[in-house]
Amino acid sequence: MSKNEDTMILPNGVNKKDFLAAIKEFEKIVGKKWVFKSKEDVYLYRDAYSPYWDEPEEPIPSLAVAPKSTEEVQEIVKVANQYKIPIFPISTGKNLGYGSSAPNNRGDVVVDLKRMNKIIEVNDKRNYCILEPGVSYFDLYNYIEENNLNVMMDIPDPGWGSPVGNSLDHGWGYLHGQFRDHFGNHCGMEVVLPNGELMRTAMGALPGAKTFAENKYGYGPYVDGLFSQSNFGIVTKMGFWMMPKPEHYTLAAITVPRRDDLIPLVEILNYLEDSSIVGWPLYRSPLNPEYGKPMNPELKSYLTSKNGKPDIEKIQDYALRNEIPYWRIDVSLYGTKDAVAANINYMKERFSKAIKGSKVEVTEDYDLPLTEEQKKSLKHKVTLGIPNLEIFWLSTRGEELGPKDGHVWFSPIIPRDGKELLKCQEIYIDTFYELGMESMITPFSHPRTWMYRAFCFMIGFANSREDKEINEKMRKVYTTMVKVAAKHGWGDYRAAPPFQDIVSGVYNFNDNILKRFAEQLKDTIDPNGIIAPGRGGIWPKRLRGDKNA
Amino acid sequence: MLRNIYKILLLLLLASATVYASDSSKFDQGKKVFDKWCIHCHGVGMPATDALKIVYKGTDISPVLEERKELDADFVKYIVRNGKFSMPFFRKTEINDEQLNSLALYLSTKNK
Repeated sequence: MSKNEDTMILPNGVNKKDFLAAIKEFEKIVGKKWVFKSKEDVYLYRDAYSPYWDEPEEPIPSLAVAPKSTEEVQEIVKVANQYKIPIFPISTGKNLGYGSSAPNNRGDVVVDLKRMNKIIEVNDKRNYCILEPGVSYFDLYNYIEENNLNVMMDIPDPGWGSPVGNSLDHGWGYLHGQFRDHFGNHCGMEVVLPNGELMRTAMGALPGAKTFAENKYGYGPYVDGLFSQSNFGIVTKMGFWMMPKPEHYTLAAITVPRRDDLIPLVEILNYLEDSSIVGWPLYRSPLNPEYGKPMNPELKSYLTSKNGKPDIEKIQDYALRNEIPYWRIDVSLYGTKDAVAANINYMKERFSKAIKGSKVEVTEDYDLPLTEEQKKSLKHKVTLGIPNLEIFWLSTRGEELGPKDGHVWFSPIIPRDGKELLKCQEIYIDTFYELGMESMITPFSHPRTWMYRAFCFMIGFANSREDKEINEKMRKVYTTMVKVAAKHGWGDYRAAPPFQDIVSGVYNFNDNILKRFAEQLKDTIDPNGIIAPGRGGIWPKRLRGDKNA
Repeated sequence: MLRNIYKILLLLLLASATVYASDSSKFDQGKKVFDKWCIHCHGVGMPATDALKIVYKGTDISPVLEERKELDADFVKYIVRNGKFSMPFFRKTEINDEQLNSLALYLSTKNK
């Protein structure tokens, strides 16, 4: 017996003899080179931002298998069924803050689809693409630019993720609303089912269909949604709608002086956004210091000066005295030069009438295509579909701030309404106060606005690869926050594996009917419970009791 | 005898040229790996460079990896496979061992 076999993590419920036999089968399918079984290789599939780093519960896989084709995925699934081995698919494995490349459970075998990296088609006349899961946003962008195609993809931060993987985990982006919902913006899917059969959805179910990536529904029930944040199959191909590159791009900044101005501000921006006059609105408060720099001490003192809680009047007074706008929103506008200029004038008129002291200022104004220098200097590259990793500024070392090991996202959805955001700030601040912690939320914390019909009011909880106590405390706070949010009608849109049960658990209308429905489907489609047990809070029958009592 | 010495010298010359060519292509491959995976964080003005600027403030060490003179090949390999702070580690389906060796060669020899 080799040293590796001695220290081998086993998949849940599988004995060593069967596991070793399955490994031989996997090696026959993909070749020995693409079955990773040494500790050194398997550990590369850990979640670098795991809230359970180095603890017995940390979901380290037993093995990773990297197929090159759909046929190989089918064969892997058949072997997994034969030996009842839980398998966990990843696309590019960069879902940092939501699980990275690690499985849901310790011992699940990772099926790494990174090698399935074919760009099957990009059509810039009918504006769509068809991709395999291992294609990254960088790969797609480079292909488009090298081939001088007149389309752009809506991308998330950061750009090394996979359009397929990101959309399956309900990721979001930065262009016009209809493109920002990456799952909603997909069209057509190919899936390996848990028994190894291959299914194509919608138009793809019609052999020879010419509109796989153009008409979402085909005929009959729409089943694509079953394969997102779930475990009913392994998606091996997806189509996406793309946005034609505009002729002109303008970035405008809207500023308002008062905290309560947020209420009319959001109403107007909702109108502008839902009428496709503007793209993604980036909400910020200039009261926040530049990343890594200290907050003004006077302002900081007001965060706890009212019996340990913020004194909003003093904060407002500070902003007015120092002529710091309370809110600033950057919005992108796309179209022809004249149309964009007309829309800017319209915005100026709307805001000046509705909000005293508001300003609309153009900060970037470009005819496209951009030069390489213009691309480099662009303030929000993602708003023109240019992938990058600049978002990592939020966890790197700052002048007055140590580096972080990573973060775990708490991401509740709240209404796209100024009043509700201010209420949400108050509830979070109260919760941190009751927990005896410094609040990570202030009266000038801003919403995330990728969801074009809702806000997300996120917190990035720091994890540690050095200090288990930090992780333990973070897990407790996270769990409390999920419950508090749910009490107010706010639920997470996405979660890292350790929190998927608690997050899905609050979606419990009518005695958990949604979960029970998913479980019925799971038992029917995947009777051996081999695909990603627990993903999205859906457990197969054989694992239900202990994990999901 | 003399002819044999010439032959040996010629073979040595060819062998060293092959080694040089092989190192040169490894170096080029290393640059490609850097441009694909590293430059987005470690390029000029990028987040990791900004962070390293704080670390190396007051020293003559450049925060830009491609300008470093003292980078050790094994150190590069260790960081890629183990990560550092919020930089995650990279799987072999992303950067395989051969590519990693090239990257390490590129970064450790570029400015020497």
